[in-house]
Amino acid sequence: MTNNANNNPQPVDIAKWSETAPRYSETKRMISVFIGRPLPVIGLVIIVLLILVAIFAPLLAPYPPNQMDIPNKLQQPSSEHWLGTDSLGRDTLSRIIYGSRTSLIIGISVMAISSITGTVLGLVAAYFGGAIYHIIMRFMDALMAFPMLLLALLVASLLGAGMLNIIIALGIGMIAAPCRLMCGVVMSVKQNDYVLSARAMGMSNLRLMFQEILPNAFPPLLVMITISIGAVILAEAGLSFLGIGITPPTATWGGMVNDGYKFITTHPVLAISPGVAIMLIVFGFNMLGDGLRDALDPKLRGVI
Amino acid sequence: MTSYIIRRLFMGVVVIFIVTVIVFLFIRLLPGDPLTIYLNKTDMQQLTEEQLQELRVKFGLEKSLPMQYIDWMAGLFKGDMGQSIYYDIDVRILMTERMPVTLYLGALAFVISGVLGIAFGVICALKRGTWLDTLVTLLANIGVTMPSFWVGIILIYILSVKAGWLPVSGYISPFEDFWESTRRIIMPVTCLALFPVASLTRLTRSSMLEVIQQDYIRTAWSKGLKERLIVSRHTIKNALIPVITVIGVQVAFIFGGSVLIESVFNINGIGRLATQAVQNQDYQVVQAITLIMAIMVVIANLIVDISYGWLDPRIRYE
Repeated sequence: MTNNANNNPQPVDIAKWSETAPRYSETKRMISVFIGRPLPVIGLVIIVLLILVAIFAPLLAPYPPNQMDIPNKLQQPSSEHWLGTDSLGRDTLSRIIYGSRTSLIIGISVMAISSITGTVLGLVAAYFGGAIYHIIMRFMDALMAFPMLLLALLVASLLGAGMLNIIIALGIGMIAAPCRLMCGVVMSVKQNDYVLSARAMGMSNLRLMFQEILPNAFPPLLVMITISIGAVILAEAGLSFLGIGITPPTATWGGMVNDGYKFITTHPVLAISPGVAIMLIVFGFNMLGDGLRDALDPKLRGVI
Repeated sequence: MTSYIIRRLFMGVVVIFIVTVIVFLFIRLLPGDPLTIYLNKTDMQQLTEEQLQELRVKFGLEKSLPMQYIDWMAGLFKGDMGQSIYYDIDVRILMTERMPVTLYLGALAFVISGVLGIAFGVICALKRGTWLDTLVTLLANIGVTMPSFWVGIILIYILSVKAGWLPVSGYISPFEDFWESTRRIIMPVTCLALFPVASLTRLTRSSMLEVIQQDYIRTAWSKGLKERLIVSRHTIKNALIPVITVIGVQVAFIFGGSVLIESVFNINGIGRLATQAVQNQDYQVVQAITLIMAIMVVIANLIVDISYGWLDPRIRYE
């Protein structure tokens, strides 16, 4: 997954070394590493397509997602209902198309909340050290010691159902990872000469943190955020599967799997198809994350 | 080393203390009254205020929050986990009934994922570029995308409904009927282990590939060391450092997975109990379960930190 380019050493081309190495801009290099591999590109394509599906859901879905049609309930897949209908006669395909909205909104906004909060906390903990560091990091340890699903369950029960509350519940559960990552990076970066010299020049703590330290920690953070979006979508699916969180009739893929589970013997497509949608979106974000990691890996500098 | 372990133990205690405070407050802040849920269940809505007060005293709910917390802690030190409001029995009885089920399934999933995940990752890295590596890596990439509860449903559909090989759900203790018990836990354990196996395979593989490029591996080759020695002592040992780090996370993850899997397969473990207890606002049960889970995660992390020293002598415990 990492550094494929390094793992298969090419025969050395002497002619290449006789001249000055061509100068590539960093951005160009990253793009060429990224698109040089099939999987990240596939991941990016999947996500772009799913975002388009989510935006244009009303145009793409053959039926309104919550339109009940009791006489036509539990239809097997047919030309009218490609993936059949559920126990209330709602079109499964339309609900899957609309479900992409729920997953994307939750995945992206949870990571936005948790990475911003986590980054600030991690930055503060590592930069100031001492008691502040210990207080923040012990809290993060405590968050990590909860199974995330149980924590989200507690917070979601506390706040009640609804999209925003689920976002907060999962957001709290996801703070620890970006916080620890940020903390680790800052601890190693803050000893570097350029940080010391910036401080010697009298830069304020706040400016130093955001202008000098944060940009250096950004690449690993970006990779982590991308991959965590997949994890959040899986966790949200788990919560909706347990029936906690997003209130019906809003279409959620996890909730659809749960509904379909009751009819698994006669209508397997009801439970199976939303799961495939979950897999697809998580696969997309994971591959994008892997691709970004390789593209942002400074060790690959000069290789391509 | 000893002082390091003592310091880490102290940190672990602090972490567990924070967990207990968080869970204690969260569960008590939930809207609603656990007694109402208990009374609805037992059809005793027509209670006078005095009788209600009696019940509150019985469950220790009449005291202030700090006093309730102190009661809980004092009880724990005496080995008393309190009284379940919903089930109206000692939480210890509930725990001794449900805990072994989750621990048994979770421990199996944990061991399987550790062994298979690391083995697959090492094999992939050593055979990189071959069809075997491509196949296993692809499967691992797919494995980390599958929701565990959904895999459970698919397995039930294929292995139970269609093929009729395995019972759909339920759990039987292995001491009762080992064969039947094994047949029933195959699917749940597979679901619990799937994500950890796949993610450990990915992690081990990429970590191995990093290490293989290191200068000290080239030095080992040029010294003329045997391949087996280079792989086992130099490559794997170093590649395992980042892998070991995630073991604590893995423990928490398997516990979280048991919440879902136990409800798919109708297994009465603490995962399912936790979901029900949160919904029933069964204070003492939620507290006991999170406390036990947190202690295990903290212990796992402690073991991880100590094992670093063996894997990487550069790490000094100061």
